[in-house]
Amino acid sequence: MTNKFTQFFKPLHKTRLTDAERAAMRADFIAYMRAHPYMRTRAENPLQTIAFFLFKKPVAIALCLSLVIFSAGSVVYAANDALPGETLYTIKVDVNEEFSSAFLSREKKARFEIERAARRIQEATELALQNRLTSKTARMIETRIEKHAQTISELAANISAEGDVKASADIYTKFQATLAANEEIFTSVVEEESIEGTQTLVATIEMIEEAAKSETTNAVITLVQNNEVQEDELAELAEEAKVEVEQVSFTVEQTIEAAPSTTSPIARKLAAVQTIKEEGERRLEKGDVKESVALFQEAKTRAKEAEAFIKTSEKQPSLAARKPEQTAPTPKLIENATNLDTPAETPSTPQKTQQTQNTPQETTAATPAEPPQSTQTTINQSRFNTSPKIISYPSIPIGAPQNEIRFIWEAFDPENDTLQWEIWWGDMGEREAKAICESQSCSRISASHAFEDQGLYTVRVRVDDGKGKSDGYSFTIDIRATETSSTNDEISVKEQTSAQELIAPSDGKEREKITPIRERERRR
Amino acid sequence: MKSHAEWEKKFTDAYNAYSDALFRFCFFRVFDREKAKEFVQDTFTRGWDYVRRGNNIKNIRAFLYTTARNIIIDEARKRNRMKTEPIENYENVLCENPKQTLNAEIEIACDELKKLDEPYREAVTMRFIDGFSPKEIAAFLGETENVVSVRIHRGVAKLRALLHRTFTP
Repeated sequence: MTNKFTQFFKPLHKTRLTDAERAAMRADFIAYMRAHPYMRTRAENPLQTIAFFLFKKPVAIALCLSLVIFSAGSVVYAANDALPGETLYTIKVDVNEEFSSAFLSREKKARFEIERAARRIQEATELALQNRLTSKTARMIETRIEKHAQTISELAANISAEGDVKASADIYTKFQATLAANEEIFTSVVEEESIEGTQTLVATIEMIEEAAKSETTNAVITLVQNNEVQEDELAELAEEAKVEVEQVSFTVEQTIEAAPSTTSPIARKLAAVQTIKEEGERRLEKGDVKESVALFQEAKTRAKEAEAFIKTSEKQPSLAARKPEQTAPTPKLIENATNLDTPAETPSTPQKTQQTQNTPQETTAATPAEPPQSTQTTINQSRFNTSPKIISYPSIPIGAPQNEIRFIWEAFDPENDTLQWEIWWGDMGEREAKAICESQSCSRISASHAFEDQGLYTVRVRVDDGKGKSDGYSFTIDIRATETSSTNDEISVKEQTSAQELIAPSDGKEREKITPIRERERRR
Repeated sequence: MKSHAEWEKKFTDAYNAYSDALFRFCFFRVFDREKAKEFVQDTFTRGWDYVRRGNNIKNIRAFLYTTARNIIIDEARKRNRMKTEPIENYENVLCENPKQTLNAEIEIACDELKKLDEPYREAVTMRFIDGFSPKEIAAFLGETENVVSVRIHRGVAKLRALLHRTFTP
């Protein structure tokens, strides 16, 4: 039966098309296909597309994810060029930049924050060039710059607390240089009075810059007043700073050689760097290692400032069109520049203005009056003038009440201007300070003061070149009744003692360290 | 997304591979060689038009068999539109008036197969002539594999009984 069943189906399997039939039919079908070519795509059919997303879920999910990632990437990329007031600006600042800094080490993060602060000023410059800088955006930029400055201050303080004072000082040097370069470009393109809030923004930048400068000075003071640091180590530090100055100067020189016509302000900055460096070398040869450290540090800051100026100019090519205006200032700029002759009125020295108002009779300047100058001369000098730099910091003694203490300060000015000194003893009872010029251009002075009562006094020193540029620093002096200290001590750089040891309060209470940035915020 | 050349190659390959099988599939339902050839050609043409409309074919073999089956059903409907006979007996409708004389063996087979009820005949034909597995037949007919296996089993039993009756003197 099985055999019959098999035999039943066997002939049926042999049923097929003949070769001729198959060939003819296939030829017909191929002709049909070619007569009706395939053209449509699946995407043209919306129902097919829906079906694709319904039934090909993994592929669809992957596709959607890719689309989302691509879109997000595009937004993030596009946000990099956003300016304040634009929709994508928040993404740029609060997403892109925050994400970029999230995985950085403390030092790199501080450096990135410096870059962020520079970006904010560059954004303000760009907006000013496009006539889109409003008081609102200026205030917003100001707030963000302050936030960056605060972060930098905290990070640098942490780095310093970990023992890396040099790195901390380097951060402040870079911060100061970056701010100075960017602020210079910003003020060259914006008329301060034209926009409400611009003055405040410039003043804020300058205050932060001053604070950074003070921190750099503090770092130098910490180095030179530290008795544990031997003189040969200091000489080594000076050499290191010198090498760094030469390296940065070389980069700047190359840029100047590449485009000499557009870099005359930079060339002047570099010339000042060379002068300061040469003075540093001279002092080093002479054996004044501590002064040379301060001078090389200053040269390094200024070289970095020139470098930052070049970098900013490269980033903002639109500034190139405005550069001729820098060499031929508008009447408004002339007026501003003229005002630089009266430091109390200029916004570049707000701290000084405040101090002068607080203690109007505290200072004396035993310097000859400046000869009258023409307006044009003033402009050129103030625009390319270099600020003086205090290079010797007397050690801080523990004095006794009623005992006169003598200090000697020295500053260096690349233009060799006659310097004016201002000293606030921090002692409200004593409003008269006698400063005696000990050199021709008053670069070295001596001053004596007797504190009546015991306590901690903050002494502030400021040197001004009479052309709107100045330098200064402050320190705290401890006056103790029980402490035996020599009267009429001449405190100079030659007889320095440990600053940390000397400023320690006698009652054993730990004094809070107030950084200039924190102090500024406290004042605000 | 395939191009014209890719689709043409796919259909040409399918033609070479499945044209004989499709021909058998159609022939043992209509028992008319010319009609079966026409259905085969129609099957491929419809398949090509389906692709041209922007659709995709995942399993071309299953697609061609389904199309061929639908064509046969459509043809039966056309012939039966004036009658009240249910469409499930489409093979009987198509076998009514074969236009050509068949091979004697095949004619006998046709007669014997005609005696089977439609569900059993379809299952047996697809299993033993077209060579589908019960699983493939189940997918093809939209039934469960179990149902198909039962139909095959019963169809074979009935066919054996018929063959026994026919070939027993």
